[in-house]
Amino acid sequence: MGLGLTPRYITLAALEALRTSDTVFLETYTVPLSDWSPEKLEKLIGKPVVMLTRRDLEDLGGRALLEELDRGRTVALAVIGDPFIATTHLSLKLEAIKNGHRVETIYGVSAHCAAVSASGLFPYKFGKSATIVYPRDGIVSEYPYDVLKENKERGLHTLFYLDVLEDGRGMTVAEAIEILLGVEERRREGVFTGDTLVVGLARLGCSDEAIVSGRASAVKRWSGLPGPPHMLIVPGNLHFMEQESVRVYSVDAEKRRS
Amino acid sequence: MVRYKKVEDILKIMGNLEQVRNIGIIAHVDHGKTTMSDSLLATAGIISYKIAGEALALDYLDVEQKRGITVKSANISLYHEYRGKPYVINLIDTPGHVDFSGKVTRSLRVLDGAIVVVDAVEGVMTQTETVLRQALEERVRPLLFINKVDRLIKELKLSPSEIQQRFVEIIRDVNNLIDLYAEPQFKNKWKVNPVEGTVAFGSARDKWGFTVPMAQKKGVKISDVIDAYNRGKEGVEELAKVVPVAEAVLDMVVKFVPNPKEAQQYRIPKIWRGDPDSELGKAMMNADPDGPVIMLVNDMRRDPHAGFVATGRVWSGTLEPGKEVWLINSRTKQRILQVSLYMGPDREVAPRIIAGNIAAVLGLDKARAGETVVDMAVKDVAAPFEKMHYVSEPVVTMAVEPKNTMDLPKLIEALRDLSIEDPNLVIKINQETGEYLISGMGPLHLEIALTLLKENYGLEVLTSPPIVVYRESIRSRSEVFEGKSPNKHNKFYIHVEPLNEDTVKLIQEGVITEDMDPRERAKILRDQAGWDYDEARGIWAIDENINLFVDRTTGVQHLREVKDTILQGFRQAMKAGPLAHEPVRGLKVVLHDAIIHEDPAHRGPAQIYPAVRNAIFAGMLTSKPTLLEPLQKLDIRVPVDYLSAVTAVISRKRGRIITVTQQGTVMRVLAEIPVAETFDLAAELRSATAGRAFWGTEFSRWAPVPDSMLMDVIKKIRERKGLPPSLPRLEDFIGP
Ligand SMILES: Nc1nc2c(ncn2[C@@H]2O[C@H](COP(=O)(O)OP(=O)(O)OP(=O)(O)O)[C@@H](O)[C@H]2O)c(=O)[nH]1
Repeated sequence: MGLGLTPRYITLAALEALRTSDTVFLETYTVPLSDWSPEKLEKLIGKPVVMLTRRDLEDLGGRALLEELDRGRTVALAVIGDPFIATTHLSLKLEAIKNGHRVETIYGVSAHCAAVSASGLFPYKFGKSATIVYPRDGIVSEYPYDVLKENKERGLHTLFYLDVLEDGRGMTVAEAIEILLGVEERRREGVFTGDTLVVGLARLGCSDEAIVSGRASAVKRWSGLPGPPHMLIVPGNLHFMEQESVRVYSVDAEKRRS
Repeated sequence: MVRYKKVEDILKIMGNLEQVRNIGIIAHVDHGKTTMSDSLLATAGIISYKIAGEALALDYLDVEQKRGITVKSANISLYHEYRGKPYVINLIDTPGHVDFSGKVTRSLRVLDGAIVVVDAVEGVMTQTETVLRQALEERVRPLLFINKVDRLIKELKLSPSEIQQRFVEIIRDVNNLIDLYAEPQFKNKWKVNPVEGTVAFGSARDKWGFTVPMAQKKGVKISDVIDAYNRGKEGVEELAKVVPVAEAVLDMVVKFVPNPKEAQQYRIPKIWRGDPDSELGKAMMNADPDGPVIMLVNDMRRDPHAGFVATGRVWSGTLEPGKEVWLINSRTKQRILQVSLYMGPDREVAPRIIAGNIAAVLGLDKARAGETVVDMAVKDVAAPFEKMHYVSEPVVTMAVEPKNTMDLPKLIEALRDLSIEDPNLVIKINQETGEYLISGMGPLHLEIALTLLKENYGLEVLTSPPIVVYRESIRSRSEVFEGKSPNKHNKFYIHVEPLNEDTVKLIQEGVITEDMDPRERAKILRDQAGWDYDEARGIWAIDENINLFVDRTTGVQHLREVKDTILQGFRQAMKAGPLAHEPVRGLKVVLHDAIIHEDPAHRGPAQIYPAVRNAIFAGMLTSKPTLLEPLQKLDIRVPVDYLSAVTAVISRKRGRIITVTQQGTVMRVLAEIPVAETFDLAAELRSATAGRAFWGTEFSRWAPVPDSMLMDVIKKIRERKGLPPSLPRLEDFIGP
């Protein structure tokens, strides 16, 4: 089940499910916590919450959860946002079904939805999404660059999720831009330069949410964004309505007004 | 002879390559290499005006003098006049102990000639053979010095004709080796011949020696030598004045070792990987001082005042301070801060050093022994000198920690220095325990490293007992296994099989490398190791423990993007196998198919590494896995009476006798014995033979641990490493 972006965005369906479950698990490693915390959730539903790490769910195959099910209990696996948009829990769902359990999905307001809405870009004009990841063991993934290239060729917008480190720290828009520029430096295909128009989004759904648009180089330097979680959009061909709606967030105050 | 020289005098001689020789001394342990170097240094070492009067030995490290084993190869320059002409002879000291034969190979590359010192009593031994073979492979011309002739007289009391007979035997043995190992064009030319003067006889310790032509000229006969010894100290000293060993050896060197220009003509095509007909190749073959700079570094050593000093040979061009150069192996640019020449064992600053000579350089601290340093102008076209292929691999490890925990930073730095100076010493950190581990070619190698820590760095350390390093391997081919990532979104289909002997050999000898042209590599593997050409074309990686990764997939989406991650997963898996977390050796890993998640967030190292590892380990567990242990070759000489005592010790230690031959009253036993059994071998052999046996050891090969012991050895290693006592099961690697 999805908890929604922040405590303000939890649905009635989710509350209902949490209250009727015997055991509530909370997974916090695929999506940044944002304004959520295990304590807030516990307070909201009035019962303890069991935290699950990547190891619990992946290396150990969610054994703790499946065991609870086998004991005949009703189990909620709570995920921030929506349960299946940016996570990989499908195998767990299938495993539970295979073992004869009934699985219900509770949809949540996801960052993906929020980003599209906030940007004012037309949802049907988005192409593939990708995650921009930190280099690990010195390996830089060029995949986001390839996705951007492909979308751009077809005039489509690109939504980038940003990596979360093992310690829970999320990548910033500035870091993401830096990584894309780094790939451009090597590939030199003109896909992403300092002049590319981007939209940076921070802490969507929180009281301090902020959105900024402008040339990548300017957005990178802009200090007005609060901390992560962040997302990044690189618009494709713009309809004039889209153009105006992006301009609302311009780094450049002049442009914002006109 | 006046050996007090100014830098300018020496530079002037070095400017005419006809008056330069680059040589080394090679010998079996204790046959007298250091003594010979000392004698040469004492009578012919150049003494700079600056430090005149100080008596310095080649073995200037305390530790070496105490142990009598030359650990470090340093250069000393000698001055010799022959037929009225002055010569500068660079003597590069090559280590004799086989634990370090990596270093021997490296120093050999910068020599044009080698004096093979053989103990007149012991004769040609294993290491004589090993090093002579290595020298011939590098096209280094051998000359023979039969040493310790005094022992024939004083200990064995041989008659002149018996002495002569002994010489004939040794010369024959050496020539047999030359016949065996020299390339056809050198076989006859390089055989040693006493009449011609390419063999000298003498006593390095007592400082006399002669060749046949020299003895004839000076009218000295073997009977005169016997007389001299009969007369005692005075007689020997007189003999040393008539026929000084330095004169015998250095005359021979000047006459028979080619000068650098001659030598580079035929050595470059052999030892340099590039095209000898290219501009660069020609500049090197001609030792052209106006050509682009090419230098081969053969020794890195830290000078407490100046930092790292790179010593090596200049093959082309002129080294000058301020010049920017490119380091091929470490792929960096560095600036030469200072160049020096050797005055005896010391460095003296010089304005420049030209091709054909040995130079010491400051400013190249990124270089390691074996580095090729080239002119910036040829950085993209210059090939490095052949990759060094080492005959030995580190087989023993111990953990070290400082006695005083405050010394830890100092220890870390000292270990780093040691591993730079001696690339065969491997330093690692055990990630789990935080221990510092040093690995070397044998127990003695490690012992010397510890002594250096104490004497040069003032570090008192605590050590674990030395531990033998094993390898994990398999003995049959596995089926294809599916390795899943923890999130189940990535899958790899992999089978493993043992690499055949031919392939292992090609990799070990550096014929096949990871960075070579894939087509060339595939051709060699097809022609020399029975590979299918297309499969060989799919080789992605070759790791340092001789394992191969082959890609046989077609059209797998996103594979290219995760190639590097897959390979890191492969390399990590090869560092610690499933049986006992020991390095894996001789494995061929074949990727048949893969499914890879589109998004990088779900296919990072945390997902890919375990997926790749699981498939490989599942394959290994089902393919008759085993441990390989290092075996040592033993070459023992012992009086006949003690032969059975020796064979008893060897068989008790799981050893195998290869051959036993009789040489007079002495038996020569060649055997092979597991390194794990050698820690108290010296004591046992000594007590079994009342100290009458002497022997040499050398790395032989990796061999499977006997099946009857396998589980026990695995259990002990797992225990030591704090792993669960039972072996992993197949289910641990392949999910349901
Ligand atoms: N009788 C005799 N002993 C000699 C002679 N030359 C060297 N020795 C002795 O042989 C032993 C070994 O000599 P080194 O010069 O240390 O031998 P090495 O080949 O350098 O040995 P490592 O340093 O161990 O490689 C020493 O005890 C020397 O004194 C000689 O001409 N006659």
